[in-house]
Amino acid sequence: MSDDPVIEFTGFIKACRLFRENRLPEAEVVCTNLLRKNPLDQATWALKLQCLSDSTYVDELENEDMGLAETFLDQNVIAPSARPGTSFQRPKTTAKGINPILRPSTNAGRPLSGVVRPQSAFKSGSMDQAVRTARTAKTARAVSSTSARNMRLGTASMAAGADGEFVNLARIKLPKYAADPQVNRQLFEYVFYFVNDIKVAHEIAGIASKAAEFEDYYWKNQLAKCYLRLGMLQDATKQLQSSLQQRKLIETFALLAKTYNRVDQPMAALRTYAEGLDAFSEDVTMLTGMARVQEALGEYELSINFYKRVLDAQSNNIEAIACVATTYYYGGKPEIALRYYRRILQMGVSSPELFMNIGLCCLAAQQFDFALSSIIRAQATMTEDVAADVWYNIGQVMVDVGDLPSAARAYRLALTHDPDHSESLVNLGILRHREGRTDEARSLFGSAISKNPLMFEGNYNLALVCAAQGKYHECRRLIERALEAFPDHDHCKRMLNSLKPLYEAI
Amino acid sequence: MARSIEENSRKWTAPVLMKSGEVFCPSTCVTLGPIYNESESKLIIGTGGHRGMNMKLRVFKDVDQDEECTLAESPTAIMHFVNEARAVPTIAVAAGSSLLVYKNMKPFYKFTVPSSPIIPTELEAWKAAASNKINPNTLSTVLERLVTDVSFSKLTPMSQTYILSKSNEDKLALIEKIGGKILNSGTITCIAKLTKSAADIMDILVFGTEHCDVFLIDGQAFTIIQQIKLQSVPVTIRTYGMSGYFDVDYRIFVHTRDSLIFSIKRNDTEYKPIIVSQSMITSMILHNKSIVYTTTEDHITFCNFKGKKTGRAKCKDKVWNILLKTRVGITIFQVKMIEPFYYETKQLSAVIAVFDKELRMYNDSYLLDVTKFQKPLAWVKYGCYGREDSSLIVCFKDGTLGIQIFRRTANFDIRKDFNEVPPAHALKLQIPKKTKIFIDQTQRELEFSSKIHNAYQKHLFNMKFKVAESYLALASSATSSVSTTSSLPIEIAVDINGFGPTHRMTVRLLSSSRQNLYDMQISIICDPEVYEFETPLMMVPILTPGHAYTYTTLLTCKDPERATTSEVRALLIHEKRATPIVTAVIKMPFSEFPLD
Repeated sequence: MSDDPVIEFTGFIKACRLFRENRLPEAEVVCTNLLRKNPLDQATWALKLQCLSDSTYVDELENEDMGLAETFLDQNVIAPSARPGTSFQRPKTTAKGINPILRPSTNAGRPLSGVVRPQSAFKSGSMDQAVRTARTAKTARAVSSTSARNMRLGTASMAAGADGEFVNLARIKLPKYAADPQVNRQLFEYVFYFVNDIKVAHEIAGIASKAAEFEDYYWKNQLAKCYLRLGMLQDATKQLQSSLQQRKLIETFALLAKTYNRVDQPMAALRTYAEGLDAFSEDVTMLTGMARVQEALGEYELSINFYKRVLDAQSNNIEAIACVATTYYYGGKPEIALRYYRRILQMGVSSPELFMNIGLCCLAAQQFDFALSSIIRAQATMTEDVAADVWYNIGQVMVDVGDLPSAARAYRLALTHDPDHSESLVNLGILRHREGRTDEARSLFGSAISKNPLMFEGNYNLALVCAAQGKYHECRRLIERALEAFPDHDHCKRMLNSLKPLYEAI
Repeated sequence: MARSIEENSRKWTAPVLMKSGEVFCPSTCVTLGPIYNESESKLIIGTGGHRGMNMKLRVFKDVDQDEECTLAESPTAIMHFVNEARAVPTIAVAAGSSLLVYKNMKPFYKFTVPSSPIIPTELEAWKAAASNKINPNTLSTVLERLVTDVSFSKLTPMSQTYILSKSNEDKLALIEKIGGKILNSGTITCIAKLTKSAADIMDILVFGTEHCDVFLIDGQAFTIIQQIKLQSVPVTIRTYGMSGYFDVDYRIFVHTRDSLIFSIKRNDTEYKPIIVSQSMITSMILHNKSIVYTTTEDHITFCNFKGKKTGRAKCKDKVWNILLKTRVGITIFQVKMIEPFYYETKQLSAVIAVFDKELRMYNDSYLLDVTKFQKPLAWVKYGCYGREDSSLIVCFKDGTLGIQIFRRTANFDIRKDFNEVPPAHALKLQIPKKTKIFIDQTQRELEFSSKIHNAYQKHLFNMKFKVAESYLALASSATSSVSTTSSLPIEIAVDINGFGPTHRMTVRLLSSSRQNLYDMQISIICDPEVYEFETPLMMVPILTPGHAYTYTTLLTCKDPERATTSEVRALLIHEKRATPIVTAVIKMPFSEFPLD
């Protein structure tokens, strides 16, 4: 019988170890107990702050949720009428690949990408249109970023604390703690991430930066994050540039590029990423950023080249794999896309979206034995948020197979899961129109347009029905809207030309 | 008036018109060539006149009629040929079953097609009738019985006329006139010529008859060189001297009435069609080394001498054709005829196609020129007229003749593809290259095809089952926004507007039922802790089909600070139904704070 004493950590050490092992709730409990005994223990206090802020940590680089107000009432855009190709708002004239028929677009009117990421930086349509569009939990955007999501994060934390708020910000002596280099970082992060009170966080960062005699790049970055949250993009840029002069950091480059993207300066963002790449050769964050900007500009080939470079540096980057796969799929090489999706599957990801993608690739690549089983698996494992898309895709498969009644049913099912699924509405409308139920088709197209006014297919199909029924005025209006979504659509242009004489004749 | 209006091409001079010409004849009754011992080529036209009147052979020189002579029979085709070296050229006029040969515009010789065997009964009947042994009525009976026994087309032309003539006087006149000398010579349908040899410039005449024969006769002695029996009636004959002359080698292309084209060579014994056209051939010519024919489908087809198609120009203008059909009630073919064109000094060659009011020039892959006219055209003839090598005689439907000359400066630099396609169609599709994986997959398909098929069928069945199952669940719970029952086809759509805490809810109802629906209600179900509705129950007194009804209510989020959302259901219900008719499920957006 060995009498090796079992070393059991207690007190602060235990809390530290738990924190190291990322067992945050347990660490927090230990800290709370310690603080009950000695409320003035700064180390424990700081550790608890750290535990709390880590549990609600949001990667500020990826956090791009913007509200309606920021999007449409944006005063920060430097060049409101930018030259084509130098702005996210006007990429279409130079873009080679944007064709809503070859590559479907998202609800926000952007071409579909391999991964879902916040796309709110891109405005489409007008404020008026956005306000009028019906809102649901899925599509609605908050009025402003300070009100919506971030507010929610803050309120969530309040419910968590059993003894009320851990740090009472109104009563704490901010200047004292903020200037103390031992605890000010933890305090800042706590206020920034957990309490989500950006003004106080900004105050802390300001004091801390001053205390460090404006020599600490960390505080400059934090100040920039605060400014970004507050929408003061000019100040953010200044802080980040000054931070870069002190020390080159990947985060700083990425934040600076993000700031440029927010003011609709993709070229400056690309330049920043390129500078970042000079400092940190083949860095994944920089490459991914460049790839995303190029994709948003519609330069798929450049984007894919960057993603391929990402994969050279980090072969398990799921975003890169997914984006390359998507481009292959829409580029007519589904069998290669399938390889990429299979790679994601091998890495241990198994989501209904992935199975659906594999199924669709198999179907397109004529690997029929595996196609439908993957889709069935996607259907069996689907969660409520993707159910509509899964049923919609099943509908597409049924159309491909030729079983139109089943396809109509699948679309109907998609609509039950998400009544705003405009693609399903359009396709169901087409099926109804085929059956000769034109009025139903019209109403389906109409509701698709009301759910998603930027949708090319809905506008175009309704325009065709209108033209067939002789409602030329409505047809013209719809065609014009369809052309907004897809300016190069030949048939639309021709229809518009043939409608013109009717107006001139009057 | 009939000025060429295609200004940009300007390949032909403006036509010089002969309005007093009054030329009404088919395109086969036109030929060009000198008449006397002079080099000047003249336009010779055989007009059929009207009911045996005005049958004339007319010669035009410059812009006037030069001379004319009366014909005894209505011409079907005329041909200018040479039958003696250094002698006066000759004109052959095919009329009925004989070939009238004119020299110096005077009758010179009459060649009659040898008679084919006559059915003995018919011969006897005629002989009897001539010698008054039987009366004309008996002859009719005999002949009509023959029609049912053999066939109308096998009888002699005389018998055919006899059966068709109505009055007794006509019949008696026929018996008196023909009597016992009944013949069965086939009517000549078409005529062509072949140069005999390089040594003696003399032409061989080739003609086809209604009895499916093609005769080759010597132009000097009018002896039959060869008689060829085809399987159907020749309509057009075009000849081609292989090395130039009949004595060396020759080809004769015959287009027959049932749209076959035969090729006849020296020493052939069996004749099989080289081209079988699906639609009626309307015109056939030779162009360089290809056969060009038009059909009733308005295609101009180019084939080589073996009958292999090398090009096809589609001339159909659908809209135009439909308009014509509806207006006139008959189909009008757009391509009336085609004419070969060859401009020696520049070695240009083309096919001139005659349309209603325009001429187009094609070669085997391009449309070369379009010339438009303001009057409808009847026919064109290209050749040497007067001293001008490349003249085009254009005849309009109103009898006016026009003479155009091919410009010396003209060429065929601008050319268009004949089946013009919009540029978008001509773009090459970007077909992705086959990848190695794709090829591996096809290999796999070859090996395990049945397994793949079975797996696919099984999964397809599963999937259809899954869809049906889910749909059944949907239908039985009526949670769909579109009614699944056929008795009450109603659609519901709900929109939420506004940022909160007060939202506006708009419910739109659309019925596609046959009759009006009455007394329904929209009921709203929600979590009463979260939302409060102004009117949770809305009356829908009537729903008329095809008309969208809109109902609006306000709803308030009670506590936006909790930042929770829940589902809201809008149900369309009827008091006599246990389940809702349609349901709309709305996932509410997060509410904003009130603006205080």
